[in-house]
Amino acid sequence: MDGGVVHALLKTVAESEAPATTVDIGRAAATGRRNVRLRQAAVACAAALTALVVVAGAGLMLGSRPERPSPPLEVAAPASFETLVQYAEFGWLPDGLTDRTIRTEPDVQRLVASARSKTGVDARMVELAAVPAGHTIELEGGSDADPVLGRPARWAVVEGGTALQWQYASGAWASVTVWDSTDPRAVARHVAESARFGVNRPIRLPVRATGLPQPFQLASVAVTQSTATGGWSAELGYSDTGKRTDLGDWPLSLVALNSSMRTGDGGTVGDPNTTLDGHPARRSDGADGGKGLQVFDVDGVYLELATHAPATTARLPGGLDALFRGLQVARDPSGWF
Amino acid sequence: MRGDDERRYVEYVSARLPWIRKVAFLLCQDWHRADDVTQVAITKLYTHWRRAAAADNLDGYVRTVVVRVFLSERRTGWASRVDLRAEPLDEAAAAEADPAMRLAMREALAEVPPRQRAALVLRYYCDLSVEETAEALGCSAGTVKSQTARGLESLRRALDARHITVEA
Repeated sequence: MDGGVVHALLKTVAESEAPATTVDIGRAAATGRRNVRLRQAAVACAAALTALVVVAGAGLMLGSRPERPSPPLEVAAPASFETLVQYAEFGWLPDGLTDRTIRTEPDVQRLVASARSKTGVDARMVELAAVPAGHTIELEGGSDADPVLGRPARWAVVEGGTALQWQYASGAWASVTVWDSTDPRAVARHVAESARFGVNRPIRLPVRATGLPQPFQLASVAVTQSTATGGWSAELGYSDTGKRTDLGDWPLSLVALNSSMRTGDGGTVGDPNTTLDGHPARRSDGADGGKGLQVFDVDGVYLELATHAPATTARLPGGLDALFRGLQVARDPSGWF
Repeated sequence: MRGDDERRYVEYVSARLPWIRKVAFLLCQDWHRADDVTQVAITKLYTHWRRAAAADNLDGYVRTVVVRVFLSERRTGWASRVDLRAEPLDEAAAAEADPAMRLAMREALAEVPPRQRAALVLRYYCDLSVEETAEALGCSAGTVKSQTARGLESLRRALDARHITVEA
């Protein structure tokens, strides 16, 4: 078989009639924009991720301004964060941000308040994160800022936006970045001054994995809830090695979404190709050597379980099927674990 | 990204999206996955747009990003990326439009292991040299040669099994 023949074959296949695309350029730009900001932060503070508060979207308007808050009680920043404990919380926020996300890992916690947008381009978003004691934030183009509640602060340049960084506790930093606002510094300062730290509130989850073998530890949590739609999603990362894979994944991941869909979404979620315990399901193999299992409509919840390395799959007795059967799921937030 | 840069990014991706999808489809052999790979690839492109735009061969840069996303594809998509649509993707209709031969070729290509398939697509669809393919795949020229040879053999077996003769 020579190259010309293979070329002709590939060209024939490539000319297959394509269905309507689900690719969203606006969403790519919005996500890319956010990645740029996070990358800058990550580069700047080396091993530690940084704290960011981002307000994205044109035409952001200030909500009703509160009275200048009293300085919060002095808190002692921990050396690391607990995965299932919320450490910081928003105080004041601009109006109209209906969704809330919390993302936790040992070395960073991020809170996100956002407004939904079909394209993502104009999505307004506020992200607050904090890093534990001993980590610094050094973004590019920094300049001195007036103290935040009496603590050292500085403005930093973030692509297209303005970041306010400050010490929320002795030796520990947080940051507020305002994106595409008509008055970014005012928004950043108000969000920063009203943020609270050391709240130490348990994080409840819509899904609980029972029967995971000893090596696996919960390494990251991300939970989103929408007050506008009542929707929620949860992404949990587990590690059996204490670190991510070379491709940046936690070795075992679990996604739960409050959706009773029984087919794919035409984009991220593929259609079922099998059933599991009466539920539509999809099995897949990853290029990273891991296995994937998607199970649709488990009491109104969509689930994705995936390993990202063959060794991780091997450490799961009964594989992903057994892991799925050991899950406890609660669609109603009042019943979360 | 400045406004001019953002405009150029959108213009480029809008113009080249059909081509990017085709490359992704040849790699994935599945339009769902191809769109997913494309989405991730153009997101990465945005992140590195300044460097990409300054490259001598922007298409080549993008092609490399697509291949690497394909090879490192994460199956667990972020829930925030899920777009629950009222109407599912009409892949069945697209499949019906394929001649039987084209479908058989797709099936045969899908049987070629991913890295070997990537080598074939880059060498024979994108017309890259061995050295250029090695750069895109992040491996040595020798590995490209061996992956290509194995890919051709895998493809030949898959085609033979379907009684498809493609010899020149």
